Parts: sequence; C-alpha cells; structure tokens
Amino acid sequence: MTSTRLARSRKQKPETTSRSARKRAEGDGLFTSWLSPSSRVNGATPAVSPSALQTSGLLDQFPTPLVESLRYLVGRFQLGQDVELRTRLGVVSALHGEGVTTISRTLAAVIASDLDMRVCWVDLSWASPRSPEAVEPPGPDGIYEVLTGGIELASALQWSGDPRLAILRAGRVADTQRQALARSPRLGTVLDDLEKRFDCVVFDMPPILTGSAGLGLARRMGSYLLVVRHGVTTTRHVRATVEELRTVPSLGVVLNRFKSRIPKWFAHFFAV
Amino acid sequence: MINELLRTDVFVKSVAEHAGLKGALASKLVTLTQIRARVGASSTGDRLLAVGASWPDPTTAAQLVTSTIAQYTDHVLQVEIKQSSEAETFWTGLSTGYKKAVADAQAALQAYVVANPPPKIGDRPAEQTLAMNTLNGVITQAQSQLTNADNKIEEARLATQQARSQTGDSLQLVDAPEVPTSPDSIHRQQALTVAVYLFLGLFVLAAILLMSTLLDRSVRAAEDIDVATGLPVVATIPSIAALSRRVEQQVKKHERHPAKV
Repeated sequence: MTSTRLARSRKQKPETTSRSARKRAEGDGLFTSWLSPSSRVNGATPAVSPSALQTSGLLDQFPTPLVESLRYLVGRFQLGQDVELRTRLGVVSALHGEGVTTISRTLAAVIASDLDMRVCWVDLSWASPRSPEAVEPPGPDGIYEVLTGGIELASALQWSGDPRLAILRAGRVADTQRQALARSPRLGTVLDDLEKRFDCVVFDMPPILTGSAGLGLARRMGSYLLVVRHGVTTTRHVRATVEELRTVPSLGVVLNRFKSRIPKWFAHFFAV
Repeated sequence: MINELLRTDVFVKSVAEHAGLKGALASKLVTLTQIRARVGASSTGDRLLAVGASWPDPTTAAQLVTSTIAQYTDHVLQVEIKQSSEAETFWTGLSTGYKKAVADAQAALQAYVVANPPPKIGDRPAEQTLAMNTLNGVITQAQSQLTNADNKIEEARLATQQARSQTGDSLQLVDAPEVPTSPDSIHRQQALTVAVYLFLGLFVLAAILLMSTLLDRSVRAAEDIDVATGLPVVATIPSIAALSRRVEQQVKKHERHPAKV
C-alpha cells in the first residue's frame, strides 16, 4: 500500500487534472506534502516552539469539511462526552477502500492541532492488496525496519512540518511478510515505546474482515474508531466487524463519503 | 365485438372486398394487418358504437367504415337467423320428398284404377276396394306429411323475418359515414403515445427504485449503524466528490505557489 501511494504521489506531481487531485484526496498526496528530506530528525525529537503551537498550518493541507467533521469528534474528546481518547487509537474498517488512511491522517493532524498533543500517525495497513504489476519503489524506512532490527524507532520517525505530529511509515515490507509482521512479538514493544514518546498514537489499520492481521492488530489498541463508507459497506459487515472487536473499547463510527439522496435543489427549495 | 371480428382474417377480407380493396389485397399492395391497424370501433355509452378508419385516401376510409358496419350488421343478422334458416332448409328438403311421395301415391292409384276399371254392373270386388282404400291411405299420409313440412317452412320463414326485423331494430345507423374533408390530427395520437411511454417509464423507474431499496443492505444513514451495532456515529464525512473539488482547489493553489508547500 505504501509503495502504491508513493508511486501515485510521484506520478501526480506534474499533473494538474482533477483526476489527479481526486487521487491525492484518496491517497497520501496531502500527507506527503508535510514531509521533506530535511524533516528526518534521526532520533531527535524537535522541541515544540510556542510559535508552532499557535499556527494552524498543520490543517491547511486537509479539506475543510473533512477537518470540521473530525473536529466535532475531537471536541467530544475535549468535553469528555461518553468517549475517552486513549493513547492508542486504531482507525479500522470492515473492508478495503473505506477511507481509513485519509481519515486517520486527518484525525492525527486534528488531534495534534486542536488538543495540542504530541501525536504519531503509524501506518499499519500492510495487508492492503496491491496489483501484481505494482512495483515496489525504494520507500523510506518505517516500522518494518524497526521490527526487523534494521534501525531504531527514533530513526524511523519522520516529522511533519509541525513538531506535534510525527509519522511512522510501514517501511519496505514485502507482501509475504505482512501477516507475520502483524503477529511479531516485537511489535508490542515498539507500540509501548511509541506510547511513551507520544500523547496519542493514531494507527492506520488494515481491514478487519479481509484478513487476520487487522483483528490481531486491533486487539493491541486502546480504542478503535470504525470507518464505514456510506452506501457501500453493508450493515452485515459493520455488525460483523463490531462483533469481532467487542473486546476493544469503541469511540464510535465515522460515516465516510456521505452523500444525501435528496438533491441539493430539492433540499434548498424545501429547506430540508 | 367489431374489434374481435377484425382480428379474424375472414371478416377483414370481406370488409376489404366490400370497400373496393380486393384488387389491392390480391396484389399485396395492402395487407390485412394494415387494414386491421387502421379500422376500429369504440363504444360510446351503453348503446352507441362508433366505427372509425384512417386511410391515406379519404374515400377509401369512408368505404372501409361503411363496409365494416355492413359486414358487422350482416354478421349479427346471420347469427340471429341461423337457427330458423337451417330449419327452413331442413323442412324444404323434407317437403320435396313428401311431394314426390304424394305424386307417386297418386300415380299408383291412377294406375290401379286404369288397370282395374269399375264393373259395368254392380260394385267393385271387395279386394279391389280394399286395395284402392290402401292406396288412398298412402296418398292421405303423404299429403299430411307434406302439409306439416310446408307449415314448418312457413314457421321458419316467419322466424327469419322476425329476426331480421329485430336485428334491424337493434342495429340502426345513427350517423352515416362521411368522407373526411381534412386529415386527422396526429397530435392526439402522439400525445397518447407519449403518455403511455411516460407512464411505462415511471412504472419501470418506480419498480427499479423499489427493488434497489429492498435489495440494498448498505449503510445509508446513521440510524442503520445504530440499529445494527448500537455504536454512535461520531462524525460524518462529506462525499468524496465534494471533498475532491475542495482538494483540487487547494492543490491548484499549491501548484501556483509551490514555495508555501
């Protein structure tokens, strides 16, 4: 998944069509724009400067409706309304293509910005299907390299333009190693280490119903947020996912790509 | 009834022949299907029946209507008088036989008398008298049968005449067909066609919507999730199309000012 996203973002750079923009919205075009080669801190956690806390540039890269929708959720965290933000927050879905990556990234940025917390977004969606033709590009080091002992966790962390938000990529993990990686005993140690370093860790999780990796990873989370794609995911799949995750505290459901069946002109005319 | 008859080839053929289309029908310039499609009847109330025809030639149209009415009237009449007509035919056949029997009996008696002239003195012998009585009896019986058959024939003719009269009373031409002076407007037909297809389209659309709604088990509202899982919907993200438009604007903005990215 990571390689596909990177390939997309590289291809899309010279394009100015709306199609490329849509792909960027679905992919990580926005998120990669946070990063630059100089953003690697190689273990040194940057200090949070007062000016950085005051800026709202962290959220400028994201569409306003998406940010505002998630701000409502974060506002519930702030008010403590029947939801409690735990350090490990897994964003999950029943199936592929429901928008977990986009929402988890935006949510990480919103939490960092609005709650002024140190947040790390971790890409654990290794199990995403890739086309056989997809070529694995040389991506950045990530959690795979940390789990295999290639590098230290601090070296794998990348920082966005804002010191409150860090990113831990999946790394150059092969398709055949993804399932085993999800069950790696060292993964627990790495997650504990992340929990110590950050106030909140947001995980981009693989789908629950399409493989065993998602369920195994979800049980390591402190809580989960379920993403449901409007008009696509069936209630049967949602019910099965919730049933699988019954032992993990739930923050609720995010209804993604919501589109009202009532035409705009009709709603406007009748003030629906 | 007329429309039902127009479905039969026999009736349409007779209509076409009486409307002067026999030659066109034989040369296949006109088909029965064309005539069937252009001639029709509709009821107006309980007692009135309107017969109409459309044809490129107005005279032929009027002839078709006239022919249709005539053929229909004749058809009804034939149905009504069928029983009495068959009875008349039957008794007429019997009557012919009875007449012959009477003639034969009379001829036999005449021949017997010629062969056995009466004696000049006294009465006929008893056996001759008996034989003549027998021959007279045969004549009387044949005459009686002939009379009975003639009466039946008269009754059948009377019934036929009554049926004709009743049919004439029940089917009266109120307005005779006229040759149209201007072509019939097709707007009404077009409007009717549009209305029919519109109605069918709406019906099909409603059926598709109903089926898709019944078969769609996807999450359509927050209530679906609440019912299925009991979990609250904590955020609703707008559709990707609306999202993408905003993203596109932002991307274009960033491409114009890359230094700010």
